[in-house]
Amino acid sequence: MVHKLIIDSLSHSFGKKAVLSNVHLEIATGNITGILGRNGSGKTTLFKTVIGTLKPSSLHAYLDGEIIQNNTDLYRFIGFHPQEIILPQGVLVSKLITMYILNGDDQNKIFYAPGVYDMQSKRVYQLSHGQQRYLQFLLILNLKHSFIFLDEPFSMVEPIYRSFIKDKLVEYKNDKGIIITDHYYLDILDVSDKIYLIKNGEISPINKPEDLISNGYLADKSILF
Amino acid sequence: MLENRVKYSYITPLMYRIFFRFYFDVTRYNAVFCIVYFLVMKNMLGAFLIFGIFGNVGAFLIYKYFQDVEYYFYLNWGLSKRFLIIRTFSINLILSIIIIVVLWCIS
Repeated sequence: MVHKLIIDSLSHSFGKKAVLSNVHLEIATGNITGILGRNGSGKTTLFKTVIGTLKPSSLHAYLDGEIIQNNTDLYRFIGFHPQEIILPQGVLVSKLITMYILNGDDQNKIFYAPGVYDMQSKRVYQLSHGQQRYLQFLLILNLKHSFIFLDEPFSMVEPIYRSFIKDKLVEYKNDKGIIITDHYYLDILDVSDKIYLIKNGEISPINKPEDLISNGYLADKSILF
Repeated sequence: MLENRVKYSYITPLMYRIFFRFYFDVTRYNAVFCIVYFLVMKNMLGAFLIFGIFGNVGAFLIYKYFQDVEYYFYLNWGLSKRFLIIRTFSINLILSIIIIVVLWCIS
């Protein structure tokens, strides 16, 4: 069954500066939505206002056509992968996987994911930053939520893990609605079904990569390929 | 359907597995305050009063300073920051009251 989350009239300001203005976004399971934007454009703010850790000036959310009366309940339907490492540092990786993911099949998907075997007997703090980010990505992707928000999953991750992440996104997208944002725009263009650009607090669809140049996100065409 | 999903997504016994990870992370700071107070003041009742009230506050502040972003780890499991703090504070307060009453009865 396809689930659909609609974010409507989302606005947020820091003091007098409006970061997001009347944003409308529709996310459905089976799709990956890429969001691009320059530093400070409001990508992370968009995620945090939706999951409720930042209070929006206005927000209407609908899940499968029904309005969510209390926006602070939205986090119950969304798995959020922030830019930072959120894993408790002292825990054994194998214990962390079995603690965070209940279903045995889902646990095995992580245990048998490329690159995880070598991590299992280590504690989280013994992993490199890139390994921690990759493990965090796998854990959050395997949560039961229908919607996953990924904030910079490719950043500080080595190329081989980046390709693992892209493979996993394609593998999981049938069951989940995924929004992804990163400055690695080529990876985002690669995996996304729909692309949006946040600029001056407004979100607009990108129909072809060249639109990124005309909207001032990229300097010239040569860096698109 | 939405109502059911919200209803069933409230705190379940399985969520306590995750909650106790937070509880032990925070309470270890609290335990340090409690032990240091006991070693310095030689006052067990006061130490457990610290454990129940002021130590919690200090522990939450230290957690916020060093591990603030880890709240998202729990939020993904439906455990809000408010729930984590209130439940941890309540458990430590009740524990310290029980211990203080027992110590008071013994003495």
